Amino acid sequence: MRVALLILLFLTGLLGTSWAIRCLRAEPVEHGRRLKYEYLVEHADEYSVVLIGSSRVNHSLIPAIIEERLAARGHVHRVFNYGIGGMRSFEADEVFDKVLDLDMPELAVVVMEWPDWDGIPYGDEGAATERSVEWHTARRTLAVLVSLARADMPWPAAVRHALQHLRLALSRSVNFGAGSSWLQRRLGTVDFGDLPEVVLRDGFAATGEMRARSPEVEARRVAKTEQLLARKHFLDLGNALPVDLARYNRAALARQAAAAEARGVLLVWAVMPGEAYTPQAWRLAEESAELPLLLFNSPTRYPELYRSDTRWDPDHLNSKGARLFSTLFGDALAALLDRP
Amino acid sequence: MIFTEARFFVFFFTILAVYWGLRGDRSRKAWLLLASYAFYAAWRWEFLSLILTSTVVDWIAGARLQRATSARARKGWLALSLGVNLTLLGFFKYFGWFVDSGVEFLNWLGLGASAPVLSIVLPVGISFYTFQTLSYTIDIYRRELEPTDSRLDFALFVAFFPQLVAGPIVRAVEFLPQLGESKRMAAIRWRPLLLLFLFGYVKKACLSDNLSVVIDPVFADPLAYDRLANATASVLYHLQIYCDFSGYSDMAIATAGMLGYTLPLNFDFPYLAANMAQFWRRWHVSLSTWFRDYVYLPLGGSRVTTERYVRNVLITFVVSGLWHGAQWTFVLWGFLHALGLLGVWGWGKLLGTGPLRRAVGHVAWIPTTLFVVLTWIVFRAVDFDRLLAMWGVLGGWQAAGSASLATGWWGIVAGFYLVHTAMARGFVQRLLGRLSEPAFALVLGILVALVLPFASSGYQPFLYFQF
Repeated sequence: MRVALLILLFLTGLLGTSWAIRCLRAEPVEHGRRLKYEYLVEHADEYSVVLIGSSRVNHSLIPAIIEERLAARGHVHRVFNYGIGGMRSFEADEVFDKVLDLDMPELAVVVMEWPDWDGIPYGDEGAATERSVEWHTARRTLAVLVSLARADMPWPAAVRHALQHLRLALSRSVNFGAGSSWLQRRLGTVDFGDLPEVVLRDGFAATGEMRARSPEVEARRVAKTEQLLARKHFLDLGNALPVDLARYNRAALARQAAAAEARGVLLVWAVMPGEAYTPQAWRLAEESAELPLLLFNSPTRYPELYRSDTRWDPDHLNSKGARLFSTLFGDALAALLDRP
Repeated sequence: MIFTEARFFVFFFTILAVYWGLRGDRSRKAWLLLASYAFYAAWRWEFLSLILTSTVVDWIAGARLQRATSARARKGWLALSLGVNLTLLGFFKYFGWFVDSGVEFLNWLGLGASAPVLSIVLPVGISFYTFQTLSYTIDIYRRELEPTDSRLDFALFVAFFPQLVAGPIVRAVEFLPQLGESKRMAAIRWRPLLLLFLFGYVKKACLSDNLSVVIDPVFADPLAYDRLANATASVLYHLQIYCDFSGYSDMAIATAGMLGYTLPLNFDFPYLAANMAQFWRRWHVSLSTWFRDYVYLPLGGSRVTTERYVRNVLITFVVSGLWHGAQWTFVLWGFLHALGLLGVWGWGKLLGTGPLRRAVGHVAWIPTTLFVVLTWIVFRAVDFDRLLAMWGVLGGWQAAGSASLATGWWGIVAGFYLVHTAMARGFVQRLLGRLSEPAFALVLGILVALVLPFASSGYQPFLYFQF
């Protein structure tokens, strides 16, 4: 009894203080997340459409063009591009909630890049970076575990990924490692860089502004793009594959929809014109024509987005492609807004 | 698996829960032995065979030493123990270095020589457990210790996981009697042990690991950095090596303590030492006393002629330097520390015992610390080129680069010395000691919550693992 009381007191001290510290924590700094967030907080009353997703969103959707296309159909909006390099389903879900919590007075539409909810840590998501730790709330950790349980993967891999997520969730709950960068910034011992103003205005960044890379990486980029273009018909074949929708985390999707509805915001999902096929999205679109879902990963439907003169690499469009895509996207979004 | 990793906590809490849940000392010791082998196997299970070899050889040698009646037979069994252990240590740790040095020497003489490249993996902690088992047979040979008649006790003495890979080096005479005692959970003094573990964790995960990110690039290319950056990196390294190693020792002592075992003190605030003699009584105490008892004193110690005393000190420190690693920089480091110690001895003779000595004693901390910092550069340097480059930049005879380090790091140095002094005077311990049990539990939770945000998120192996 005495030991149980002491353990309880220890946990009270630990979790209470950790919670207090967490309340003081700022947005993750990586890939300009904090800068975009702080910018949006400052300009919360200016924007009515927010586009959330990965670099595919960040480098491919030009707010000014989308605004122009929407205005041509009678929808006057200011669009903010909240694309963040490497941001995937669950992190985007966190950003989505934060955008809703800003209580932006004019917010009418949130466009989310189609979430695969696959739960596989990707790139630095597996490491304890600020951004990968931040989204591991209890609810999202549970959601990612559900995704892994349903995923079509060998169980040792699923367990490995699950443990990684649990570790990150634990890191978040006790703010593990979150103070080092905070302290270093105050000591001036580290330079976290800055995003240029041109990027911050409306959030868009052209692919040409991607950081300089080595000649080897550049050569690989060109070769991979050519490879995609040579095999682009596989993308449509992949999208047409039959899938077991029971394996897809529809509950997570439904939660997003409910959260948006509760705030009176129209939530639209969009599949970017990348290299991945998304049969789940295509099957769901077939299942319900009412689903606000825009599908752009089809070389048959959008051949202009799968040409060598419009692509930067297999997953991203170049500036010309971005202009073209933004026009198509603006028109498609306007059509959705035209719906009664 | 290192003490700051999440998986170690899972491992240790499992071990601890089962350990205290078991009835009977024998089953507890068997459990600990199993856990110790599992702990070591988490690095490379193949190297368990080396520990087992040392265990079997020294067990047999210890028993036969006791039974042998002739001096010749006793010497033979001791030679077997020394031979097997030092051959294993020599092969895994020094073989490549001997071959490379030999080839370099022959090339220097103009005799073109080459040797096949042989990449030998250094088994973690081999220097520590080898010295530990050697103390067993040497003490029996000297008739200072009775061999244990329990194979389990002896195997656990060699492999006890809290101190297996980086010390403290525990003598058989200190540890074997503890294995014979019955352990009671109620007798464990949890509060100081939990605090000790937390202090060790702060030193390792919050200071050492975060500092390495800053220090490593400067030591890799000193000429690219300006003079202040080189000075900053040198001073930060002297914090890092202390925090890393003493942090490990603290956690090892605390971990062992929670299992009912007492490990010897390994660090006694060495950076507050006023001279080099004091420094070596406070730094890596278990190693320095090992060298004192098994190398320095057998050579004659200090009760000999001045020439022989100088020789004894030089041999002891050069061998001690070499113990740290198969590199000439370690040899030089040991040699310089021997000179430092001899300098203090000579200086003391010059000053006598009067007021001048006392006056000097008040400020001696400054040159001592400076000497320690400068010699740590030798210890850390990858090669002589970079050592000379860093010394050159610091001394002003080598052109410095333009890269810099933030001056904010000196705030960390000041903070460290403040806390180090407060801890040495027992302020922190007394403050926490006054708390009631429930208040302590609550404060410990708060302290842990305050510490964890500053832990480095990338686990760095302990620096002393390489030795």
